Amino acid sequence: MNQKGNLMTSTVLKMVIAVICIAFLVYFLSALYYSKINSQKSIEARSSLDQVRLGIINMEQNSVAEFEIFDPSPVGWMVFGFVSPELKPNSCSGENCLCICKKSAGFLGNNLDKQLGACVEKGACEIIGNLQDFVEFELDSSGGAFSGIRLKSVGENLEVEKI
Amino acid sequence: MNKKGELTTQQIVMLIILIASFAVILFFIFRLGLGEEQEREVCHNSVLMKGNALIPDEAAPLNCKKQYVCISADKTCEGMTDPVLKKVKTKNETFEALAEEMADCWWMFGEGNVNYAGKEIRPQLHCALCSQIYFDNSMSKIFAEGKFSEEELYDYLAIEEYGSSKESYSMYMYGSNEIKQLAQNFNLDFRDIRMEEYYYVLTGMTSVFGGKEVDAIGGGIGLIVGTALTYATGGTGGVALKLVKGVLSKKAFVGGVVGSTGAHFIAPIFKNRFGTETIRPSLIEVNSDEFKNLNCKELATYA
Repeated sequence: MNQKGNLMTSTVLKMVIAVICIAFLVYFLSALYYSKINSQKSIEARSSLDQVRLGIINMEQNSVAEFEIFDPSPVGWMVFGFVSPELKPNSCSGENCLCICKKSAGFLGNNLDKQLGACVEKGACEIIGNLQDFVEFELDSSGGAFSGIRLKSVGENLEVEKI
Repeated sequence: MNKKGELTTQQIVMLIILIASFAVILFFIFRLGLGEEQEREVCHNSVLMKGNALIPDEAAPLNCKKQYVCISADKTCEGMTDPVLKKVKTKNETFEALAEEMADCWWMFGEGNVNYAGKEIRPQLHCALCSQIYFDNSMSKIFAEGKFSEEELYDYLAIEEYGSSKESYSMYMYGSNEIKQLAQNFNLDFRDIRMEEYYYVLTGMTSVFGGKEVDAIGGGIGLIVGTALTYATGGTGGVALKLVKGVLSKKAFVGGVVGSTGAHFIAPIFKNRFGTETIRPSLIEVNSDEFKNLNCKELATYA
């Protein structure tokens, strides 16, 4: 009988259980951490979209063709336009809308479902009925230079672009 | 030979059974959807806290999350991402799903007995958007015309009992089973609930006047409702109706006359014990002029 081998079996089993427990613990703690971080970033995104909404009101009331929002946050998140007939995040209620959301891990330009899920869970949206489709872009600090979102009124439509 | 430290087959089997049982229990706990129930409880508690006169407003923020509910005749929902899915087979099950959402909303926001809107110098209407309802395209199996009259929903609410209580949904939420008759007395139309639209389950209240002149409350309400008109009716237990003149043309949306052609029943309201008004649970189309004209100044729920 190999006594060494027998002892190894129980040790390995204990180690496996320990690893499972540690993995669970790491998962729960990281979930807690990221949930806190993301909820904070969602509030920042909401605040940036509030600026967009005020910008649109400003443009309408003062008949201004352009409005710029500088250094919107959170840095690293994406600005998306969900324009018909695409499937849209729930808070858009089927209307065209502008969203600031975390970029989905699997997003490669056409993986819309994953990105929609990310926008529903981590992000904020503002309904803009006359929003024109645009290529999504990332909010970044551009190495200290000014960056932001430019709103342009073109006829009946509203264009959004990165500064 | 049983050596010291060696795990026996029995122990290993027990360990595996324990781990498997734990996994099964976890699976069922997640399947039960306790998170949704928990969110309702958290919301209800935050409303009660907010209504507590001893706690300052800033110290008790509302913590209510809007639910995205999809009512579907199959197990799919193409119009929403990760919604709370309610599967229905019949018209009555659809009404039941809606009634539950409305009653839950009423319960979460204190059944009209809690002032979650606080005090303000200029009283405003605070709307609580408890849930956003979407009807999946599979609902055409149940509603072939793609719509139903809200009148049918009020009929259901007046007949069906709410939970284990003996009172009807209508009695619980509106304090009367005669909402339909009340609307008819005013010659009001019931709107159609159209399957292709999104709807809010909404309740709300006007904040209490926080200044010196208490008489200003009524004036505040008048300003808030704008084109919406408020009518008190006698003999129905204090139930009143909130009306908005029908949208005959999107361009010409103005306040109108009682019971004129095109006036729709929107939501029952009542004078609450704080001297302001509470909108009782109702379904309102998300992107409608009726909702915009309610002019909800601050939404007490976040998305």
